[in-house]
Amino acid sequence: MKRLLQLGFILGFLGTLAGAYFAPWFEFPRFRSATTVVPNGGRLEQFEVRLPADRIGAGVAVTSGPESGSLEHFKLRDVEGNVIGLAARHRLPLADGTAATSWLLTIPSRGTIAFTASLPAGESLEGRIAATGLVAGASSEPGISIDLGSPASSVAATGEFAKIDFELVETWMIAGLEADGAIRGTLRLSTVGTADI
Amino acid sequence: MKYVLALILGLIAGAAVAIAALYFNPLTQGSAEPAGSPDWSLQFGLAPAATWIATHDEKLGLPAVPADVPLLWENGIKGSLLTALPLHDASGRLAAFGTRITVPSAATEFLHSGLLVDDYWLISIPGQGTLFMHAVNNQWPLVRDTLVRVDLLRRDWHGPGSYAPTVGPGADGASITGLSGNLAGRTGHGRERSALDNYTGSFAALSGELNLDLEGH
Repeated sequence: MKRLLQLGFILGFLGTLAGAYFAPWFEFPRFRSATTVVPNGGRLEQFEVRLPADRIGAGVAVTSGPESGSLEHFKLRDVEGNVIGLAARHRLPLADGTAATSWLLTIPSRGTIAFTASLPAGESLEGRIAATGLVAGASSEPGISIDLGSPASSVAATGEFAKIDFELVETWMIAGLEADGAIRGTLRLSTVGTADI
Repeated sequence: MKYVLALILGLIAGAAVAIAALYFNPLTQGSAEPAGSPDWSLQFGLAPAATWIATHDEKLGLPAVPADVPLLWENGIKGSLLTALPLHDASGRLAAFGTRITVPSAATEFLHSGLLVDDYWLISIPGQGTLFMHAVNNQWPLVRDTLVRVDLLRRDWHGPGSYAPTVGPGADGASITGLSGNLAGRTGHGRERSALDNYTGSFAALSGELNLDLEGH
């Protein structure tokens, strides 16, 4: 009986340590990547944000001295509609008169990509929408599609995105504006990745 | 029957000793202290008044901000934490603004790494540009002192607690890449310090400090 007690102790001790080491403590479900090969090289993958449902909180406008910036946050979906990640968008005026738009796309099961793009002075999504004549509370039939600026380039990436150069195009497909001016529609983020070899 | 009981008693005793060893395991306790004089030292808090947005899957003891913010309940993002924060300098002036997305790491194990999370930061510094920072943080010392010690073992909070959670991804701590403005193309390293003055089931009293160093700055 003493031997069994000792055997049980050793098994319990080693089993717990093995569990602490080998147990998969955190695993996110990995959804199938819907990618296509583009003719001039690279792999196209599109993500979607349904507005206003996928917007996380209101946009934040930040004023600091003469400078100001803004932050927006979204849930990120694959083209099949599964929520697979999170996205943050920062807009920051720069000293040369342009504005930088920086994106952070994090898909927990896959990794993160940070993008940046430069917009000409005075060009903004709000300005482009105003130019269409769409006003708060109104709908647009057919919808309005706005490609904003030049493609953003990836600057850093982690996980399965590491060692891949990406370009990102943000396309705002606007069905209308809510009474408070919030966009109703879909934001499509199209990424083209090219292996960095 | 008594043989089975002896085996079970041995299993329970062995598991209990192993759990105690894991609780006090020195290999999962800490990390290096932050650098002495970083280029930027940015401070933040997780109290509702100090954050613009804080959302998660509701299992975390942290108030959602604003109260009606969508929670991160979907399977693909459950367990993540998103915070949008003003970042202040030592004098309390708004020096930057940031988004932090925290994701539990698959590399977590409790023998010599601890409870690892990947923190992805987008930090915009008005007048300068935007930075991306990836930090691997070991949150086991914080979780052990709060969720395990106070919530699970019903012992008193023995704080205030001070933590230096950053352990990677490199030996120098978090990796920083400049995205735009004057900071475009710059690289560097960062570390986080955090402090918890009081714990009563919520991490709202948690405050932090990001110490960022850019090469050649």
